[in-house]
Amino acid sequence: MLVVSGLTKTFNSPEGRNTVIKGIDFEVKEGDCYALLGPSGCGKTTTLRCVAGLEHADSGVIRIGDQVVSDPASGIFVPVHQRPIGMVFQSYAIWPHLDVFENIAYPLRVQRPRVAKAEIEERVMAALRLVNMQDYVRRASTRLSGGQQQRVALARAIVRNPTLLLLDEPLSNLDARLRDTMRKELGDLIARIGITALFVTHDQAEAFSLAHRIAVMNQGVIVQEGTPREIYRTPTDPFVAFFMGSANVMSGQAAPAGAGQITLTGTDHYLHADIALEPGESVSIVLRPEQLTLSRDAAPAARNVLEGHIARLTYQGGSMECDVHLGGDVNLRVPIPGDLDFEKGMPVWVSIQSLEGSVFRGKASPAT
Amino acid sequence: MNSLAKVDIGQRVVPLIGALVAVFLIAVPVGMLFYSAFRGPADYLPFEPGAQFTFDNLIQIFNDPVLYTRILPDTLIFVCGTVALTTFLAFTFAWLIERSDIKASDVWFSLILFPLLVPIPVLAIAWIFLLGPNAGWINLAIQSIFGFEGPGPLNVFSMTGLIVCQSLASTPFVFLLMTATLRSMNPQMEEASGASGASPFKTFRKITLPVLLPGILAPVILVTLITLEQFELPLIIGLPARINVFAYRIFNELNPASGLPNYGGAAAISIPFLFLGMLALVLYNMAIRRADKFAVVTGKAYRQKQIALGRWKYAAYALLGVYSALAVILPALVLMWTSLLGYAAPTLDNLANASLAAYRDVMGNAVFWKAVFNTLVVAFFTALISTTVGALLGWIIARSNWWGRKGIDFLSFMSTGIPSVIVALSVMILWLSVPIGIYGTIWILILAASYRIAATTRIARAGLMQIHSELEEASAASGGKWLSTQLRIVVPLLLPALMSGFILIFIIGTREFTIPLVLHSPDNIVLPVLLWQLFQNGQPAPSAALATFIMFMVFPMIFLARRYIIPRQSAE
Repeated sequence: MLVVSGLTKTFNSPEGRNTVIKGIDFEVKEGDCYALLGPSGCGKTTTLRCVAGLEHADSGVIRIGDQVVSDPASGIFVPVHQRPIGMVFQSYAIWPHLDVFENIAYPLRVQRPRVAKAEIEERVMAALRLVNMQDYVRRASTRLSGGQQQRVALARAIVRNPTLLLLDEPLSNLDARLRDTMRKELGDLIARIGITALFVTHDQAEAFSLAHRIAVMNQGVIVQEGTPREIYRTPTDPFVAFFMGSANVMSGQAAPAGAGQITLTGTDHYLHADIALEPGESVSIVLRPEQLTLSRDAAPAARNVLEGHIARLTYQGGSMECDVHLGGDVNLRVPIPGDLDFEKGMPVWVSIQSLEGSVFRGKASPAT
Repeated sequence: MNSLAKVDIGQRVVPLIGALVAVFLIAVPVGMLFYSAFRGPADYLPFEPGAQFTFDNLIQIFNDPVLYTRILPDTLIFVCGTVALTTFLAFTFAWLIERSDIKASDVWFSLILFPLLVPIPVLAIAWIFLLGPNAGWINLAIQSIFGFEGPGPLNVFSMTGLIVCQSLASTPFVFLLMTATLRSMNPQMEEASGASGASPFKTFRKITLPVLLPGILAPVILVTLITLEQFELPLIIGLPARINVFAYRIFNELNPASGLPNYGGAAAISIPFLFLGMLALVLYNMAIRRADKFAVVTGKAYRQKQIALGRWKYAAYALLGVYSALAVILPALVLMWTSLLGYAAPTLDNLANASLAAYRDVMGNAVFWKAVFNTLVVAFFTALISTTVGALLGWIIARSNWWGRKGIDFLSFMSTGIPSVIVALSVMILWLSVPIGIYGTIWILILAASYRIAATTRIARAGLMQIHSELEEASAASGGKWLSTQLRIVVPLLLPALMSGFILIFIIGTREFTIPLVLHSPDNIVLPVLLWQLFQNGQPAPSAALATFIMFMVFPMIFLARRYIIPRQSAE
């Protein structure tokens, strides 16, 4: 449905040249919801804006359906208003001089050949019902709350039945509680109308709950692409692993003897991993909370059990965060149930279930 | 506040002083004006023995056919023409600088700003040297290129000439307001239209213009008001062309060709124009409110996408070039040339005769140094009073819950709507009636010109809004009295805002012509008035020398303005 290949984009500003997209490829299947996920400045919004036609790509091909909409090499650039898209902006961009009805009717009003009045009425009302705003038809748009603006923006984006729905950080302007509600509604709505959607977010929870597939971006490239489960379970890059959750990132060094033995830098602990490493090679180890269990009893025979003591306990109601000091300045954060009577200073043992997908060759970069 | 707590005297007294000064600067003179309009006979001051209540002034003024055959039509044509041309130039320039890919936008920005800083008599004299029917440079050039015989073909002394000159002078101010408007528009508004399937032209028509409309309308209303009260160019250019606008008419009642000044008549004719000014202010306020409502994220400036001009860029450069030539470059050149060579034609041969005699002439005269001193002192104290009062009023409006704060807000805002010629008249009547020796000194100029507190109040209020009131409460919780909290916490934080207000009023003060002319005496002469006198006495070289001096004196203010005033103004 949407195919992007070899996309690059450089901005020239008085401060210098800034290449924000360094050649990315991805494909969104018909009816899929696809997320571009990454930290701010990773190029995800620029990618979306290139797909929309709000930015001119420097090179690469963008195809929506059967139509090539952007291909600088052959001089093809379909302007934004001729692309079969609907878009929800980060600020919602609700036009203040038009009321709710007219905001949503706008895409139909500017359509040629003209859409009949009765049909406009009918389609706007249908879109309003989809977003649960049918009671606000003639409300002045300057008198809408953030959540209501979001709904109007969504209705406006889908009213002309676009081939592709684009959403730029659609939930980031809402407060936390409303964001959860709107996330569910947005997911339901996209599923119900079965539209192909591409959206940009920096929030992994948003990407996980809405997207069929996710491309994780960093510094202008896609570092990993896959289903939410693949990305979470088998990250191919420490950046991805770190970005996916509140993971612990540590550095280590392959022992001279090899055989998958890794010394944790700064401690006298070592781990065993089923991975071929050069002797002395630097590695980074990413440990997600659910890989770790904490115990007060030593289990000397087991593999990958680290001994330490509790440096800090942070009570969080149903659960606690426990920082286990392993030596040097290395701490491991482990979540534990809130009703355990652990105490600060107590000796504990952390066992690591599996190191599969947790060890990466190379030093842990400061960016992670 | 606990009613048993000791009342902090400073908190009560200091802002109240500000409010009283504001009333003294604005309400008292205006009240005096209204009172005078109903006192007669005409050449009597309102409290003079023998003066009594009468409708004669109003009857005489409004029965005069000249009002309907000359003053109203001339004023109407002058205002409409100027507003139309100014709006066109200002919006076009603002759009080119803010939204197009025009090159060297910084240089154009400074060039467009120039007429805002120079006293209008300087520009007026330069335009007479350029476009005078007999010896104007541009006319000479046209005559020699096309072989016309003089005089003409252009004549600055005409309604068209007056409108063009006034528009050149008014454009920078409106331009500044329009750039702020353009910058405040969320570009996603336009992008959303494109993503809805609307072409760029349709987007401009159906989204850009309607969304910007209130923000464009507000400066247009303001420039209508400003043009209505214009006095300088109607006097210098309009009078020889026998154009008779209302501001000049008031001046004429006070300085008649023969006979005694007609205080009552001047006051009477001021009243309807004062009401017109207030009406414009109400409309302005409505437009501003709507514009605020339209700014979805208030006060935020967006980085605008620049639109490629393509072939239109030649037209854009041509328009900017013509404006810069007429408003900046040629005036500067003709003044410098005339100061060195008088009316000699601008040829290389004549350059050999250049002489600094005119400068020696002007600067050798003690009046010149007195005028320099007076100009700077008046500008400085005017700025000081206006900034201080503005800060106190800003505090009352933003921080206090005093019942009178709405009235204070209105009073400060109203000062924008009072034409300076009417202020000068009111202050004149007031201080002639209260004979304590202020009349004829520079202090009357300072008291008159300090009525401009709308801008400083607004700047101070906006500055205070950005200082979280918890910062003040934290000082109080640390044991600081109100006054020490203000002096140690608020004033230092507010200083950049106060500074920008001070510089703004100082620049306006150095340009002031109307008030010092109406209230002038040999003792309180300022540079623009001295310039006007030299020019009227038929001394082209000395007046050009003085004009050149003034020009170089205000030149550094471009940098002050760009550094301190404009960033703040666009952030508001």
